[in-house]
Amino acid sequence: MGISGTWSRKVAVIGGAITLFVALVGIFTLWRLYDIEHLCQISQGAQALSTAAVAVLITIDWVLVFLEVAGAITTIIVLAWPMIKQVRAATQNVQSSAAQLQAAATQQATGSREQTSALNEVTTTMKELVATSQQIADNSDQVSHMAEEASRSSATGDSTARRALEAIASIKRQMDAIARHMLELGKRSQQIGLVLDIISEMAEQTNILAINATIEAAGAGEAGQRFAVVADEVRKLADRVSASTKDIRVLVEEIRSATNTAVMATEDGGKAVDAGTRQFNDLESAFSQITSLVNNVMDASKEIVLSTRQQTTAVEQVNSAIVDVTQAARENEVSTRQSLEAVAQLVALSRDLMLLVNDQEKADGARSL
Amino acid sequence: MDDQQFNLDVDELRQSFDSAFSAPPRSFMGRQDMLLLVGLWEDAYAVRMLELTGVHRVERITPLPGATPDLLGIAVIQGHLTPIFSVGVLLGYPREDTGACWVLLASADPPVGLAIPELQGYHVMSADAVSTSLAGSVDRAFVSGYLHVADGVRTILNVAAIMQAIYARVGTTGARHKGE
Repeated sequence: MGISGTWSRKVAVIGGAITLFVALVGIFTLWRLYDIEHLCQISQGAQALSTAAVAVLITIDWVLVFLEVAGAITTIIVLAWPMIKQVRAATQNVQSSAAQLQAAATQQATGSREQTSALNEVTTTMKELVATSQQIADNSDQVSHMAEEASRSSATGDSTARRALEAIASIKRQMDAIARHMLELGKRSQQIGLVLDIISEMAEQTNILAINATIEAAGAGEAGQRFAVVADEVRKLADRVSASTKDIRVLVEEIRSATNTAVMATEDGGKAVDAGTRQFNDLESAFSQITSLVNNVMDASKEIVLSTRQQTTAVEQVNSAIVDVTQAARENEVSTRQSLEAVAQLVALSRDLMLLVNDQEKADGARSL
Repeated sequence: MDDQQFNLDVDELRQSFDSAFSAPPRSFMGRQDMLLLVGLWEDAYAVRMLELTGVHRVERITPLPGATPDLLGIAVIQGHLTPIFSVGVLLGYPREDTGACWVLLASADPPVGLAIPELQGYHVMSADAVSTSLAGSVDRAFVSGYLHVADGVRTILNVAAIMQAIYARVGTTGARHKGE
């Protein structure tokens, strides 16, 4: 249309100019040959001629344009036919590829949804795992604290048992001292008994002497009466001394019996103290063992706490990564959905293009006939 | 011995001891007898001190071969070799052993010892505390009366009669009881 249109216009313009020049030359010639009136008539005839020429030129121009368009269309048809075939083949390929893309995008969208769902489950599980790990870490921490408390209590018990052992040893020494004093007291009681025997014999002898003095006084008759009174008083004193020595002997025997009982009690107490010492030794040994075991438990619980914290940190990191992966999967899902929509549009476009190509092909076939 | 009884005994002892020195001197008023309270086996007896010259504790009596059952043996008393007779055997009791015992020296020349197993005490009595009419198991030849005391009735032995019985048994002629 461009080249042929420009060329026809140039031809029309040049024709018009030549016509106008010829007209002007005729007019000038006529003006010289004829008068004004004739000239006016000539001018009017020329004007009508010019108008007719312009109409002719316009008609020619239209014809030329028509011809030019028809040629262009013909050229296009001739030139575009293979291209239409190629477009048709390409459109078919595009449609096929778009269908494959659509299927792939659909499958990818399904996979993305499943992946997102699975990752959500994994995320939930990981959160539970993090919570469980944290709970384990807290429990292990509490166990560690309790183990430390138990260790301190055990150490206190150990110290208390040691002090009790020292106290028992002191009690044992005191018991031994008491036993020695009791034995000494028993010896002194025996000595008192010996002295009492002497005093008792002396009182008895005094009593006998008093009785004999009384007898002598009675034999002396009236002269011995006052002496008999004195002798009787002496005898009474001797009786009292004898009675008192008996009381003292009873007391000394009671003291001796109590002393023997105390000695036996201290011996029993010493045996009990020995048994208590052995038991406290066992107790101290048990406390030491408990302390050692509790320390082991404390160390183990600390290691558990440390490991659990590391595990928690690792699980949290895994959880964070899975959250990122989930987010990426969600984005991928969105992207896939967008791709699917684009592919659907592409499929629709290729289908429309295919229809257009078919229509054009039919139209061209009809025109060529 | 409980504490309360012990304190009571001590107080009583203290009071009696103090009163012995604070009370005015007393004398035996009226007709009174002084008696030794003795025990023979399970029975209680009394002996008038006026019939004795002394009382002694003998730790050992040396038995004599061929002696009569009532002659326990001999013992040294105040430097004198003294025959010791068993009052219990004379009164019909079983013979006691020859261990330590109390010996009553009777008023005799030479002295004769009367062995008794138990010396129970000393008693001063008024004459009206003695009765003469009380039945007993002992031969009344050896009884001079009966003493009524708080713990019962005691038979008062007649030492002179006992000495006569001894003299009669051993056939001694030189010995004489001072009471005779």
